[in-house]
Amino acid sequence: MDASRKFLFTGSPGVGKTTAIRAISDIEPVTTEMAASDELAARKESTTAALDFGEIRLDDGERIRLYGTPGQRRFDFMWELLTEGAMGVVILVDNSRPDPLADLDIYVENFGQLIRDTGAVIGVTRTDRYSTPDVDAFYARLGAHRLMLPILECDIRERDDVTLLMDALMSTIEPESA
Amino acid sequence: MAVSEKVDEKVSSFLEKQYESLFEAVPGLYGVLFATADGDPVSARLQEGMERERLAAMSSSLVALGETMAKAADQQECEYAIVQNSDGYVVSLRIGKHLLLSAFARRDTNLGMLLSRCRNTAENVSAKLKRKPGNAGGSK
Amino acid sequence: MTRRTLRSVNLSRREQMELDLLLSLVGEQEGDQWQLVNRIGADAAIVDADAETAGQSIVEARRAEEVVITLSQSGGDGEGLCLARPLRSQALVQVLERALQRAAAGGRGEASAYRLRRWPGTDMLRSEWRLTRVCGALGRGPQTMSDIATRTSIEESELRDLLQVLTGAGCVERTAGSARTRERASWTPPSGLFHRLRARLGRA
Repeated sequence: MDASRKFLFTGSPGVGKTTAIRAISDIEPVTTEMAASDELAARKESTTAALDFGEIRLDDGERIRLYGTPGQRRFDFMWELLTEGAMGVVILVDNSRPDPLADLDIYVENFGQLIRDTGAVIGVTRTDRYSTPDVDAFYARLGAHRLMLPILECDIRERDDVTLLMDALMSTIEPESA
Repeated sequence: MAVSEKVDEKVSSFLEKQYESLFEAVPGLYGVLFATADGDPVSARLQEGMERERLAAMSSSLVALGETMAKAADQQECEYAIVQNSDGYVVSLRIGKHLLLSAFARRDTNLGMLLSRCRNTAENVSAKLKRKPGNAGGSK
Repeated sequence: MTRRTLRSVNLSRREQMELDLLLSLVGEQEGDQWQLVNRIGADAAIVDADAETAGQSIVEARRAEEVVITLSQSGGDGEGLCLARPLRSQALVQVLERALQRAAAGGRGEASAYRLRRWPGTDMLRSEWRLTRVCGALGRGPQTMSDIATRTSIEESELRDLLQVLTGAGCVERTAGSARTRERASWTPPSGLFHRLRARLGRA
């Protein structure tokens, strides 16, 4: 695997990492779903147990790999494995969960080195129905981590929103010439 | 080596019998774990120092990847995910839709026996769960 | 044509409207078009010197590196950037010209840095893709305009407009002192990769 052609999608269980990858992947994503138990099962039948895999195919034949991590913390060994060689990370936070800011903490801390070495974008979902915490609260929380990253309210079912996340992510990694 | 408190007494007693039977039949066996399909430990009998939660989650990843890889290789249902190491085996398999069984054995174990006994155990547990009222194959 | 921003501080609503009208009437002067704004961090601030809080407002404006123009009944001492009530177009034009000269002489503008406070919202980013580039450049720490222009390859005249949009939205603020760049482990994406990826995603 070419280590410099990979992006990571991570975030809260059930937030839609697989959906986000599907929105921009040129192939049907490979998934590793298993039947969900516990509180997640009330919202989703299945959950990612190993990884998701998608791909964007550039015009010159080059391939950009998109990896989705499992959301649940017990799979943090997969987070570590999947981080290797990633160019940057999309962190998706579900604003309908009980404590989205605490969720943000988990992913910012666990992917902290990757974020500092490359870049990241935060996508906050379900803000149309769950308006708090608001974006200012997320910025304040990021500030506590001494980070300045784009925080974008988004609907990851919409391709336009996912491409915007990717654009912002690339801008944080290296401000290239346009 | 304690059985998890997550199961009720009857199920616990049933699982104890399964463990006894397995450990007796497979001399090289040193750990058995039942987990939910998404990696939450249900019941285990493991050696000291083995992390139940971590192994349960890894079992889920292993089986999930095995099944996905089987499909990608145009093969049918994944029966076992087997990891053969220099000094042992890790075997994981499904029990219905919602449960997994993982077994950990030394390298001098007869692999065929290990697989066969694990399969028997899985079938026993599956049958027991089907007989339980209101439980279509999942337990926690 | 360069757009310049003027913030009014403590002026009455009537005076703000008069000022707005005067600015549109005087039109473009020597290549500069002035616009009245509310957000701190404008090119200049016109402060009601007769108000009780005038002193505090002036300090605040100077801290934000705004060139301070005072408006009062007496018209000040005639030396500084002072205007007398009621506002007159000719006096206003002259003071604005002097304000720009003072800003240039003080080294304000190009040399001072911009700091990112937050990214703009999704709607704004959708409407102008270059905002993403500018914010990305600023994400590494405060940058001068020329630094941002270099990093983004956006011409300074266009960049000025983009920075004003971001400033107006509260996303960016002017800051004194030298720009510092955030250190990052050395890794650079392969040349042109992101450009091609953006093109593929429809974001170029």
